[in-house]
Amino acid sequence: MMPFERSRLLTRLLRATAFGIALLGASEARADEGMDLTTLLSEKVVTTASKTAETSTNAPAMTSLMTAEDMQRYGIHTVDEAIAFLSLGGFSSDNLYNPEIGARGVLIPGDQGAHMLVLVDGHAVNEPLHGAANLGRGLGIPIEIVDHIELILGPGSVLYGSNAMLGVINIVTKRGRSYSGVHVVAETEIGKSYRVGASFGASTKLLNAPFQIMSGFEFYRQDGPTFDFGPQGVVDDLFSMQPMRFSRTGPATGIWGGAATKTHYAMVPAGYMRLEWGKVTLNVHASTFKRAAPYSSQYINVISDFNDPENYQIDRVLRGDLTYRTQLTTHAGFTARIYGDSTDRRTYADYSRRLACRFSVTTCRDTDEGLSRWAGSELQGSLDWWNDGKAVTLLGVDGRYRYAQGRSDLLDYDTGAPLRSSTAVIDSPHSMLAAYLQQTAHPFPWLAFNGGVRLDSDPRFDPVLSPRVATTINVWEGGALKVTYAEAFRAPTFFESDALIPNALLRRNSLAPERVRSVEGSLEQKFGGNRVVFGVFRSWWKDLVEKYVFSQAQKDELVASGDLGIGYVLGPVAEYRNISSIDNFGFNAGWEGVTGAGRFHYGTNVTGAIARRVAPGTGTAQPIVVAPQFFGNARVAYDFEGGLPTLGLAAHFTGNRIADRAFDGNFTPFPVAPPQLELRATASGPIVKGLSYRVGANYAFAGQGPYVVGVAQQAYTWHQSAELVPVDRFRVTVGLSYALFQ
Amino acid sequence: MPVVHRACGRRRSFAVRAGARVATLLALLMVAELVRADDQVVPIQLEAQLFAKVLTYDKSFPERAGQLARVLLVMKKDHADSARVASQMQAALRSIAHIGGIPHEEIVVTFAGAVALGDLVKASSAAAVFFGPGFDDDVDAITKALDGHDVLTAGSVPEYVPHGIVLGFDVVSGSPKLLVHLTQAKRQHVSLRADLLRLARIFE
Repeated sequence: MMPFERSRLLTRLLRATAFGIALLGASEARADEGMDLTTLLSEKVVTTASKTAETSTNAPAMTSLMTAEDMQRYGIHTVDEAIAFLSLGGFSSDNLYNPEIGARGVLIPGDQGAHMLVLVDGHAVNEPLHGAANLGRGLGIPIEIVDHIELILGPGSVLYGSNAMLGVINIVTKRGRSYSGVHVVAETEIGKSYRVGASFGASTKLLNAPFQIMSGFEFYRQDGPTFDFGPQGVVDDLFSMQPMRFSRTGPATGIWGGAATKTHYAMVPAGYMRLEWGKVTLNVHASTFKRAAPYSSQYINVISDFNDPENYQIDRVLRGDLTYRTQLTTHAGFTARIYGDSTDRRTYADYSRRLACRFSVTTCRDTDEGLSRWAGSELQGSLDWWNDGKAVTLLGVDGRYRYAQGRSDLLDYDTGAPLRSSTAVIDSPHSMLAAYLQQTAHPFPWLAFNGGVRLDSDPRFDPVLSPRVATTINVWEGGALKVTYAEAFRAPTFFESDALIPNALLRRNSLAPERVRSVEGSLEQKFGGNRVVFGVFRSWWKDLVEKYVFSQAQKDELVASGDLGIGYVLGPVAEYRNISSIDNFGFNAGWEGVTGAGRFHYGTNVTGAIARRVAPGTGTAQPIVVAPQFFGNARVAYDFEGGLPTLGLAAHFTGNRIADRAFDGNFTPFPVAPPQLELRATASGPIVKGLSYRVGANYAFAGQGPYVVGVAQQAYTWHQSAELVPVDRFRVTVGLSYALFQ
Repeated sequence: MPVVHRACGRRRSFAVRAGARVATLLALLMVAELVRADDQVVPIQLEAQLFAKVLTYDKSFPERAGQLARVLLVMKKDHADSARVASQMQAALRSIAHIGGIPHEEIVVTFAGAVALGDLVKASSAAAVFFGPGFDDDVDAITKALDGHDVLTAGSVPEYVPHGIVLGFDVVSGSPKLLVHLTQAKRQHVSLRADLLRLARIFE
């Protein structure tokens, strides 16, 4: 195509877009005063960014809100799907095990969610041993009881402390008054999974105080699909001098791969309850998440046998909080909250390779146990200086006691007897204290200011200060300009700071917290039922904690200094260090709206981001692996009403994604997952009174994701190319729900 | 001989004891004052804008308001939250030039009983009455007292509407929603346009 033709095409495209926008605006404008009311009713009310209810326009950060209605329309089942298909700036990456979440072009592979703070009704769920937070099926919150999900982009430690590096996700559940009755749901991804659940909500008065209860329970079971892997051949086992063994039974073939018929499963029983009585709110959440991955990789089933269903991980969670809110005077409010969490994680991996096990048994069973418990209290006061909402001070303190325990054992699979002493033993109790201050000011109707700072004290490192300053200027009717500067940190997990595996994982120096600071600006325009936003951002990350692998020369020095046994000088030796930094910048753009008397819904979000990781010593900047530099989503839906279905079509897309082992695996060709486009069509509606359905089909165009799988995690002479994780490309979902006593 | 560390979780938890103490303290606080805690769910600025805009859909509002629309903001004595919302609503409405297309004034009044309120509405020719939190036990009586009066009642607490407050506000799925008690609206000669009712959740 000639440049002139391209330019003319672009001009036509811009004109068509402008005409479309004008048409939509005009169609709403003809509704006379309805236009303004539609705009007002399209406002997003968020509570996460500043711990108070405010419109997303005035929130001190770019906020993406995913509603229950949209999740129903577009066939969303989990939080990670909501982020992929509906959010602005966020994306998810499926590894067939436990999805990973990133934002604005940054994702830290294998972090288990530690760089995104996850809240459920304001309750932080990231546990301190690994920083983990599950956002797929493993979250254990039935999607039917989710009212909306808020994604706050950018550093968010100012009110919440550690982990809010990429942002904050708050899953807000429904209230009893808006979710009355009993709701039963049964759903299946045909041939792959099923889910059954029940939930109920009610509101009444109890002892002269209003009482609301909402509760949901579900059981999810996934089994399959089956994927074929390999074959990947490796050298003979240096210890047994025979071909490598990847299975307990059968001959040792030296070949990894085949059909993974038994190792792609998950099971999640879970329940959640929210109870509000007078000034008191009680939340309780319990879940178990057991899952297995059909492959081994750098982070999952690292050296385990192939297609062994006893390689799995199981998380158990019990958490709760009790909140008391009161208005002390017309100017001063007070909130007291106590909370407690218990999470434990057990990971099992069997391996029959003598090279990996090193003991004279058929199969070693590696068991990793981890337990985190924490409890604390948060006291928060607010002062509205002139009782008009124009100047409000928020002051809070959060004291927490927590401890983490962990150990790793190696057992003889056949006898259960330990083969060596426990390693990676962690037994770390300590207390933490934090204080935060936030000041909001609305001196003029066109100007909003939000400034705050939080100080976190952790005995493992010096106190951390996390400031944020944001200003919103309503520049014209419906238009708002927002500028934000924010910082955040992530405390090293207990595993990173405390785990010691003699002669394999050293622990010699203390770790500093990871830090990120960012500056961003955005312009938002609302017209009719439409909201258009465009923003640019830049962030700087430093002191990222990574596992540093020693070179041979360094291992020789460690032997000389007595930090490493001479017998281990040829094996891999590592330690956690503050290693790398990330430079990240880009743009977000989004357009969403509703027209056609509230029946036609549409939206699209696009993010372009450049993220470069710099490790000291290398002096070179590398692109971030796994994370796409260009990604987004689009959706349209029409509610036919009157007993007819609602039809929804959603898509999310990502550009090329560099595979996780691309820079240290020496593969040829350079491993890159192809661009992905995933389409999801959904139809939902009533059948008879109380009974409704939802059916959907999901298709992914690309067949590979950005994770290197298999025993060949690095290129060998006889194995030069990387095998990438397969994608579950086609799924059909059918669900029925029944509501009674509404 | 391998040494296997004790299983995780066999520590007597200081955290549990500490949590129990704090819980006890909190429980005492709760027992001391387990009284009505109404929800102000919509941000006040947004609620004021919605309130002002909805009045343009009230066909009888211009006649009822005349040259100057008078809005009573009712607060409950010794109820801090009620006073806070009334004061903030007053400030928010003052920043809006017209409500229902008409200049307006707001008067904060202390609730002295439903009957007295009915008398006050009549005497002051109020076009609208707004209730903040604190009136949960009084809504039924207020509805009865204002029956037949020419006035629109609105409340910041969603639970008021099923009991007869004409207009309410809620937040569902992160967006504001309008609640309308249609039967009571007719009894109070409030005539809301059909295009508004299509956007609202209706109670009868």
